Amino acid sequence: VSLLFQHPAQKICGRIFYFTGGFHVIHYSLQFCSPYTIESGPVEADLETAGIPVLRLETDYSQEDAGHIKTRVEAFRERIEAR
Amino acid sequence: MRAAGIDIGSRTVKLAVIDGGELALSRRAFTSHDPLETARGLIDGVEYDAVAATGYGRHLVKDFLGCPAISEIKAFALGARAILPRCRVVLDIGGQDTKAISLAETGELHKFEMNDKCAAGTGRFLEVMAAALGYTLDEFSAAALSAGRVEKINNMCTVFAESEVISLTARGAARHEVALGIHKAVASRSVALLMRVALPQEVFFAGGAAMNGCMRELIGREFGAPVFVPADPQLVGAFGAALHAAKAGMGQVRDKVSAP
Repeated sequence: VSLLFQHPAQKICGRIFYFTGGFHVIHYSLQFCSPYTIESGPVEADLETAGIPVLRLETDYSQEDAGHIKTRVEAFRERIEAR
Repeated sequence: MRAAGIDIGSRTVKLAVIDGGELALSRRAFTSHDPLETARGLIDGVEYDAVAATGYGRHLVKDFLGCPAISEIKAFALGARAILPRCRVVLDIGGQDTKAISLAETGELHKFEMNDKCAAGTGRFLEVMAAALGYTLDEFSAAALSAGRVEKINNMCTVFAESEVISLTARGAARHEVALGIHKAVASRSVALLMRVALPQEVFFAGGAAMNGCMRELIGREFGAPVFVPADPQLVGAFGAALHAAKAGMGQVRDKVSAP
């Protein structure tokens, strides 16, 4: 498929495949950055379908959710280790 | 082998001791300002061969006891699966977190979603709202179940919702109808998380909020699936940590035996 006719999310997935060689992906978007946040849904779906585990994080630069993020990242690592 | 699991939550600390996979002992206490001291008090005098920690204070206890630590998500997955081997979807509403977890058929962690940074729509929210309406937690759930109509709550922020509840009661709204509105708001938020990890199917409901009859009822209704609640929903995380400790402990024993 020509890149011209691909949905932006597909292009991103293509690049992710290219750069990671198909490991696991943490998709981080800055809070209220709608273009990336909206796109993270299809990106996650495509990568998960291809067997690449994805963790989606949406946060800002403050520290108050550090505990939450730590729990999520640890659980994501446990998910990968169990594979 | 006797294995212990300790779950340091935001509101309560739970201890579970298992012997041969069966629960042998359980203890719990309020977390307080010093979770490590509370955890030490709980584990004092308990005999075990292996121990693992989970919950918000897991790293604190890990460093203190020199034991492994696992995330609550893994702990709840392990615990739920041991209690109900067929379960594929787990919902945990704790003191400040809500987690929706889906499991593969073989029991491995598949997907999970968690509430955002604040404690909106979690157990703590229910506690504060019950207090604002002058109910104990048991009365709160019973009152909500008895309401025929619902007083809608729009705010999920604990601070704003409390103001909203106060304005509603000041306008003369019946407090059991407000109570139902609060339960509905929490239930729909939790079901939205569930929908992100799985299609409607039987849910294993754990965490302190699973002791609330109205929450059980509403989650089942909104998700459109049966809800399974274990005998002691608060203890599932500690139980899962104990199962992990037993497995890790077995590994150590095996390493010792096979060492030259």
